[in-house]
Parts: sequence; structure tokens; C-alpha cells
Amino acid sequence: MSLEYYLVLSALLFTTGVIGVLIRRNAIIIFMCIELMLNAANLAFVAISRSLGEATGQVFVFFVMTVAAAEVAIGLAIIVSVFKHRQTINVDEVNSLKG
Amino acid sequence: MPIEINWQLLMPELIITLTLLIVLVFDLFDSISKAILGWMTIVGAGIALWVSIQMHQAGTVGTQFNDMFKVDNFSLFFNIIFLVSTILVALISMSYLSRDDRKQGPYYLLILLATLGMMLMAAGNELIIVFLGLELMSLSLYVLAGYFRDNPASSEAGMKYLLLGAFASAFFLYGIALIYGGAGTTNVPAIAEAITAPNKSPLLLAGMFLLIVGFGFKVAIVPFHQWAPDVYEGAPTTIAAFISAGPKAAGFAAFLRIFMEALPSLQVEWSSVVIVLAMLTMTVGNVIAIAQTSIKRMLAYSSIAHAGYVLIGLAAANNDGISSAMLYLLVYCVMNIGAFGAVILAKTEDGESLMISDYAGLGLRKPLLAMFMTIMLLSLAGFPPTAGFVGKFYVFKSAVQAGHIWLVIVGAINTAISAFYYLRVVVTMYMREPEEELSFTAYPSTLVVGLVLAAIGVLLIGILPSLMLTPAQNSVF
Amino acid sequence: MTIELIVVLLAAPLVGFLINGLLGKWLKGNEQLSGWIGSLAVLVSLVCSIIAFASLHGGAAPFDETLYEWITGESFAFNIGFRVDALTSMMLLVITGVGFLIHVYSIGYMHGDAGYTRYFAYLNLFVFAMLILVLGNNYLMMFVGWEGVGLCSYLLIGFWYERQTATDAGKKAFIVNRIGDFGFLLGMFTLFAAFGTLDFTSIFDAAEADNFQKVFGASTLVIATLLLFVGAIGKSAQIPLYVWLPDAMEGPTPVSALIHAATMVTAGVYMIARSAVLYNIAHTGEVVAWIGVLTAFFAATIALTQNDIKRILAYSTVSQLGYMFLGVGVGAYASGIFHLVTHAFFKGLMFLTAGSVMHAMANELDMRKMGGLKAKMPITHWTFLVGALAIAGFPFLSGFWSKDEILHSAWGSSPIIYVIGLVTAFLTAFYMFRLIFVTFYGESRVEPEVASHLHESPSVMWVPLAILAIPSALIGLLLGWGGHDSWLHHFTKSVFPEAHHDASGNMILFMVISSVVGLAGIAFAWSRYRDRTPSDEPTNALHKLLANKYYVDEVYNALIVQPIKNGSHYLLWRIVDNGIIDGIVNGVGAIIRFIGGTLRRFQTGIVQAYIVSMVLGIVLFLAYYLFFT
Repeated sequence: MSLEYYLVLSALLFTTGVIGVLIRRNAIIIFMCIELMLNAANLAFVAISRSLGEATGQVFVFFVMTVAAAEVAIGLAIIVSVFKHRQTINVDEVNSLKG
Repeated sequence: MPIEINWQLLMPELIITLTLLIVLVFDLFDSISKAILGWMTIVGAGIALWVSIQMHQAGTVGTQFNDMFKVDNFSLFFNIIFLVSTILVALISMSYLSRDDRKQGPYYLLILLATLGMMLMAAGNELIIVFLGLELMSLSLYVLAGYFRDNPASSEAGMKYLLLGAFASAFFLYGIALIYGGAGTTNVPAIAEAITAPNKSPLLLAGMFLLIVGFGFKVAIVPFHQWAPDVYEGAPTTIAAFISAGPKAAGFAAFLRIFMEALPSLQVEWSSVVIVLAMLTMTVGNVIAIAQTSIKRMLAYSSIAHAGYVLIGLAAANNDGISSAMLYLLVYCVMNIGAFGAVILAKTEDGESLMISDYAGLGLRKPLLAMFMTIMLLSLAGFPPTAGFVGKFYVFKSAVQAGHIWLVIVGAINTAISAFYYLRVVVTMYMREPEEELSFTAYPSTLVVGLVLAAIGVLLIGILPSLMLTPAQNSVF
Repeated sequence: MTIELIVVLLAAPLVGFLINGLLGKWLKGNEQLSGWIGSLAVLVSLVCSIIAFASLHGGAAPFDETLYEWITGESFAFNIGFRVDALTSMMLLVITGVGFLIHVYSIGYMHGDAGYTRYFAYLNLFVFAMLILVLGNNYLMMFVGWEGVGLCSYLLIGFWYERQTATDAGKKAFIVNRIGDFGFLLGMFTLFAAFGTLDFTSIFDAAEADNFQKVFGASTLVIATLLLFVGAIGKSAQIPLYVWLPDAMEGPTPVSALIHAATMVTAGVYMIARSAVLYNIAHTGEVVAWIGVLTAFFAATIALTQNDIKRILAYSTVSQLGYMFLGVGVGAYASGIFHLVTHAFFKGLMFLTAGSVMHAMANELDMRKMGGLKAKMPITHWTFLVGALAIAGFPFLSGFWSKDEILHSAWGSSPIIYVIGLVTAFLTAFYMFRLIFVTFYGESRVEPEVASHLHESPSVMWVPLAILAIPSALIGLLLGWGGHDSWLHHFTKSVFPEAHHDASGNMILFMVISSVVGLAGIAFAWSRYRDRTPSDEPTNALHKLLANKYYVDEVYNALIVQPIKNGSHYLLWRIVDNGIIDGIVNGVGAIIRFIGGTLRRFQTGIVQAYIVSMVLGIVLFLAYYLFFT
């Protein structure tokens, strides 16, 4: 299979993630959609790396996965602290800062 | 293949790493006064600053780790900006944390981690390093924005920053992937070589644009700016100062490095977008700032507008443009932290004075506070003889040289608009009578020291511009 | 003379300002220390000024050096540089000499004030700004100093901010001065457009060689000099912008002495003397002279009926500044500066003695409640008398020499101006001795509880008075002996262009006439007020007009202030207002604010709304990229 198929798949995954972020209201699900976007990028890295026949992209993916894990840890902690204040993680209801 | 490590090249980064480890360890001992952690941060950053200045003057150049990490005057100049910001923020933070009895250890640790991330971004000669630096910085900042966990506004700021920041990071990462696909490499000089051929694939263009989105978010360019006012308002004021200064400079550092060094052959494509973004950013930032009543939000919108002025230098895309943008970032960091510091200084018995109307009558009643605030606001507005004037002057000059007359005209109109809301605060302080007498608390001395340093910096660069202009001109890669 | 000397001269008051301004908290317990630090800083400057003066006097060439380029553009550069010539060194001596004595005096005067360190910080900052004003070798630095002294003046007038009148007076001074500064700024722009530089020497050389861009045709220099003069009118309180100076007396009295008598208000005179070349070529001196002499007369008439001693001195200052403008206006630049110097001493002295009286009288200023103070305050009385005799033109005292030179030059220019000036001299002698007789002579009208505390001021206050009294009396003789052939004229010859007035008539005759007029004024005051109190109610229409200061404040209030305040209520005003630039500017401001208010609503606080706008931005730009390039 040529590289294009992988790139199209990754673009579709990425778009799915973006749409998910746009339409879901639950902060955790939004967060998962962002993870999906990161993984779409990872897929692109691996595919390109494979087609170029060099390892940079694959190494990159390891770093991205680590970063994503760190992001999840911090993200969940922050979401928990918001939940403690408001008893909700619906992002539409967390809007006291505006203007 | 053994890797030769030139430790000397990595000195500033190593010193910061060592400092944050020391802070981490000392935070474990309950018997020690935690106030010492702030001083450790300042001393560590101070030594790193001194080393960076020495290396900059010596004109140190070199790469490390298989060409992934590049030390040159460009990265060193940005190190100076980051470290100056860190020191100033640490100075204004000490009394701020202790007066509300906050935990100090994680705070300084995260500030140092973010600083390290910024230094990686400026020195990144490889997109992986830039990405890692960006994430290290951003993750620390998300936590710092939500640092006051018992404060709903702070938590909300943390969550908004996190969701929007992670979203923007994903675009940035995807952009890197596309550039990797288009150029076949993620090394900055190698990308430039790979696309000298008339090979402007849509992959590259799209990737390049997604990088603009990623950076645009970090430095708060319109239309990727909307997180900034909410986060600045909700975050602890010291952190608002921090986020508005160093990270913005770091974003521009990587922005400049990647676009000027890796993508110069796509300059026609990106500079037109940068011009539009610069105009939009300046105008939207300044116009909304006029309608603000809270000083923190006003400063947030003003900092958005200032990113627009820096973009003018980037749009000029010549050596003068880069050096003037760097000078502007240095000046901006100092004066913006100073302005936030003055806001912290205006602490009353019932909390911070965040409404502009609270500042009425301070000119004669609280002359020191009013003087600091006035110096910083005049500098932000770009009045001579302050550093802000010098910064704007050279940015505009570089754009005139590059032939972007319209950009300069829009910039000048924006400067006039911005003078309106900055001066409104000054007029309120000196010309209005207070409606109710607010009882202000005593000035903490560390905060005053920080403000004095910022004020001296703003006036010194304003009176003797060559002091920083010449180093900036020597720092163009 | 070296650059180091000038740097020390400038830096000393700045360091004093920083110490008092920033370490005030730690100095609070020891206010004497704070005062002496401030005084010492000015003393250092004074010593440097004396060294500079001595080297110039010894025949050294004037110092004129550009330190560095501040801002460089494509075809221009703004420089930071200093110039010390005869004119500058005279100004330096006045600023630091009178300044030092007033600092020392303030140590006693401000004793016990809550804002003690703040006061000395401001005073040092003022001296620093004033030094920048006179030391700069270009108009830009002059302007920086010009604005700096204005700011300090505002801060010091409003120093006692608990008093509503003080903050109001501060604002009035600030706003009126902005009008003048705007003129100065426009004048500077005109000069820059014409000459491409703001350096004094380059501009003067080019003007003399008639080698510059005639941006306004033949009248380029006329416009530039008149615009600069607008700045001088504001800063030096001339008609019609003098209204702020009498109100400025709300500040502490030493401030009135230093800023609003001796130094800052004379900045306009200095500026014109500095630009003498331009005024000579443009022939705009006549305008300056007329404004000057009319102000002198006008202010003197107001002073006739005032009962507040500081206000009398304030109007007297306005009047004497008018003399200085008359002098420089008729081309007698050296004489104008001469009067500036003598006036700085004797008027400074009189303000300080007024302060001494206030200090003893529990801040009473109304002289109807004084009388007979001579017995209780002999030093204050004698020093005031010296000042009053000097200003009245008593033979061989300072004012006699300088005023006479000006009047003599005025005669050569226009006999009408001379006559007005002479009448003013009579009025001056009269109102000053009215003040003396009512305050120090006759029987005491002091209220009993005040009378019991009545005392001579402490030594830290009266010593400066006594020291100031000596130059107040003698400096005229020292500098002015020989009229137009005096030492001062020789010293400043290199600075000023050849005066175009021809000194006609016998100098001795003029001196005799002036003396007679001055003595007549004193005698008239003696005949009317030696044992009488000024009546409380004005007795006739003229008196009423004068007592109410020609209703100028009321007229300004009615014509300018009130319409601006209430104007928005009246449709007519809106229409008129909309027609002029102000309306357009406000309109644009309102539109921008409206747009800002609208755009604010997009900042909904909802994360997903922000994401939508980000994605929209991305899609728009991506589409632009992929389809249009």
C-alpha cells in the first residue's frame, strides 16, 4: 500500500478528533478526542518513517506517547479540581471567566 | 558511536536543571523555611543568566546531540530574555505566595521546568526538541495556571488553558508530521536544504500552516488568542505575568528559528499570512482592551496586541526585522512583568485591586506605586524615553525597510488606540478622586526590588537603546 | 570642563531622588537625615556648577558634546548631548545655588510632615529635570526636562492631597501647561521638519546661513518661534495662560520659592534666550515683548488688591516674568537673563520669608490678620525688606540694575512699551510695600491664640534667609555695574547674537527716572497703609474688578470649562463640537469602544466557542493556502 492511504487515514482520524472536540461537552471526552488527534499524528509519523526508510519518525512517536501520558496525568488532575468546585465537568457550565 | 558532550555549551540549561533538582530536594525538608526556595530560584537563574551573557559576549556557537541542539547568539539572547523574566517573576512571587500562605516548593519547581522548556525551544535545531520544549513548558504552565486549587477561577483558568493548549499542540504536532512527510527530515537546516528544489508540495504548505497555528496559540495571535484573557484573569497574578512574558518569547524564538532557517524558501507564502495575522492581532487586541474594566484583562488584551507588534518584525523577514523583534520581546517581557507587578503591589485589605476605577487618586496617595505603574504603562504605550518606544521604533523601522508601509500605518494607528486605554489608567491615578478610600497594605520589599529592577531596565533601555540593540543585532543567526 | 563633571552634576540629584524615593520607608524614623541627603545632593551639583562656571570664566571654550545617538533612522538621528556655555552656567548657578538654600530651608519648614521623604524625593527629582532642561544641547532634551519639571510641579502643588484645593490646583497647572506644551511640541516638529535635526548648533548655523527646508515658506521660522513661545507662555505663566500660577501656591512654600519663582517658571525665558538666533532672524521678538509687558502690567494691577501674601507674591512673579520676556523680546537677551538671575534670588527670598511668617502664624496667609510682626520676627522682617527693596528698584539693589537695563532697552524698541513698563515699576513698588506695611508694621491684629506662639523661625530656616538676602541685595551691582557694558554682558557675549536695539538716551537719566518712580511707589504705599488695614470690602468698581482678578478665572470657567463640562447636555454644543476635530476624535473613540464592546461578546467564556473560532481561522487560512496560492 502506498503512503497516501496512511496519510488519508491519519487525516480522517485527526478530523474525527477535531469534530469530537467541537461537539462533545464532557471535558474528559474532549480530552480523549485530543488524544485521538495526537495518535493521528503518530500514525502519520510511523507511516512516513517507514516509507522513507529511516527511524526518526518512529523515535518521535515514542516521545509523543510519553508527552501524551504526562498530559493526561496533568489534565485529569486539573479536571478533578474543577469538578470539586462545580460538581460538573460540562465545559459549557465552566464559564465564569469571560468578556 | 560515542557521543561527545561539550558540557560548556549546555551550561545555562544544566544550571537550571541543577537548580530545580535542589529546589525539589529542599522542598522535602519541613524544617527549612520555604522562603529560601524562591531565593534559590533567583540565584540559580541569576547564575545561568550570567553564564548566558558571558557566552553571548564570547559569541559561542556549537551544536550538540547529533545536531539536535544548537547554541548560538540567537538562543543565548533568548536565554537572557527567559532568565530575566524568571528572576523578575520569582521576585514578585515571594510576597504574593507567602501572604496567602501557599505552597512554594512545587511553584518554583514548575517555574524552573517551564524555563528549561523555553530554553530548549530557543535552542531546538530539530523539531522533536522544539516539540518537547514546548510541551515541557506548556504542561508546567497548565499546572501553574490552576495552582490555587481552592480558587474556582484559578481551576477554571487551568482547565481552559489545558484543553485549548492540548488542542493547539495536536495541530502543531500534526504540522510537524506533514513537514516530515514533505521534506523527509525534521532537522532544521536539513529541511531548508530539502525544499530548495521547486517542490512546494501541499503537504509542506499545510504543515507549515499548522506550525503557525501551534505557535500562534502559544503566543496568543488572533484568532488563536481567546484563551489568554480568561487564563490571565483566573490564574494567580504572578503566573499571568509569567505566561505573558517568557512563554511568549519562547514561542517567537522557535517561530523565528523554524520559519527563518528551515522555511526561508516558503517566505512568500508565510509572510503574507503573517502580515494579515499581525494586523488582526494588533487591532483586535487593542480594540477589545479599550472596553475592559478589569486591569488584568486589559493587560491580557494588551499583551495580545503586543504579539502583533512582534509579528511586524517577523513579517519584515530581514535581519533588522529579527533583531528588532528580539529587542521588542526583551523589552516587552520586562515591562509587562513590571505592569503585573504593579497590580500585585496595589493590594488592599480586601484583596487585589483589579478594577481600573480602584486606582483613582493613587498618584498623590501612593506615589511609589503610581510611579511604577505609570512607567510601565507609558512604556507599553510606547512613549519616549521608555524602552517601549525604542522597541516599537525599531520594529516599525524594519517593516518600512522591507516595504510594508501599510503594516506600519496599521501599527501606528494601533499605537494611538492603545495609548487611549493605557493613559486612561494613568489619568485615573493622577486626575481622579477616589470614590472610597481603600486601605492599601504595606509594600513587600522583594516586590519593590523586582519593580525597581524592571523600572530601571525600562528606563535604561529607553535612554540608552544601544545597550540591548547591539546585542540583539549580533544575535541574528 | 569634562563630561565627568557634567555627569556628576546631573547624577547627584538623581541619586538623592532614588535614595529618598525608594528607601523612604527606612528613612522615616530619621527625617533630618532624609532632608540632609536631599540637600547634600544639590550641594554636590552646586560645587560642580561653580567649577564649570569658574572654568568658563577663566576663558575655557564652551562645552558642547554629543554623548551618543539615541535613536537612528534612515536619514536622521536624535542625540543625547550636553552644552555648557555662559548662559547654561548662569542657569546652573541659579538652580543649584537657590535650590540648595531652599532644600536646607525645607529641612526646618517641613519638619514633622508625614510626607517628609516624599517631599525631598520630588524636590530632588525636580532639580534633576531642571538641570536636564538647561544642560541639553538640543530641543529634544530641553523638552524632556520641560515635561519633567512640569510633572514635578504637578506633584508638588498637589503635595497635600488631603486638601481638595491642592489637588485641584495641581490639575489646573497640569492641564494649562499641556496647552503650552502642545505648542512647544508643534514648534519642535516644525524645526525638525525644517532643519532635519534638533541640535542647537546645527539649527542655529543653518538658520544663519538661511540653509533649511522652508516648510511654511518664508514664514517658517516665524511659525516655529511663535509655537515655541506658546510653550513659554504656558510654562512661564504669561497672558493668557498665567492662571495656574497663583493657584499653584497651594503647594508647600519652599516649592513656590524654588519652582514657581526662581527656576521652572523661568524656563520659558531661558528657552527664548537659547533660541535668540531664531527670534532675531524671524523678528518675532516684538510679540514676545508685548505679551511680556502687558502681562507685567496686568499682573501688577491684580497684585494691588490681594490680601493673601503668597498670592501677592505669585502675581508679582507673573509680573516680573513679564519683564524678563520684555527684555528678551526687545533683543536684550543678556538683560532678560540678568533679571532672571536677580529675580530668582530676591523672589526666592521673599517666598521663604513668607514661609517663615506662615510657619510662625500657624499657616495663616491673610495679611489682614497680621500687622506689627516686625517686633516678633526681626530677621524675617529685615530679610523681607531687602527683597522688597530689591524688587521695587531701590537704588543700587539688584532689581534696580536688571529692571533698568530692560526698561532702557525697551525705550530703544518702543516708547509705549517703556511707559507701560515704568508704570508697572511704580505699581510693583506700591503693592510690595503695601504688603510690608500691613504685615510687619502698624498694630498687631493677630488672633490671641496664634499670637502666643508667635516666634522667630529656627536657625535652619533663618540662616538660608540671611544668606539669600546678601545676593538678593548685591548681585545686581556685581553683575550689572556699567549697564550694557557690565560684566554679565561680556560674559554672555559669545552666546547671544548682537542685539539689534540701539541703546539711545542717557543711561544715568533712565536710572534716575526709575529710582524716582520706585521711591514714589514706596512713598505712596507708606502714605496709605502705614497704619491702616486694607478694607475688607472693595470700595469701588475698579477695586472690585482688581480684587476679583479681572474675573479671568470666572471667564475661563464660563467660556471654556463649563461648556466642556455641561456641553454634552446641549444640542447646540454637540453640533458645534461635532464640527471640530475634537468631535471627530471623540467620535472615533466612541466607535472604537463600541466595536470593542461588541467584540467582547465573542469572548463567551465557553471553551468550545474558542475552539470553533480557532478551527474557523484554520479552515479559512488553509483554504486560502490551498486554493489561492
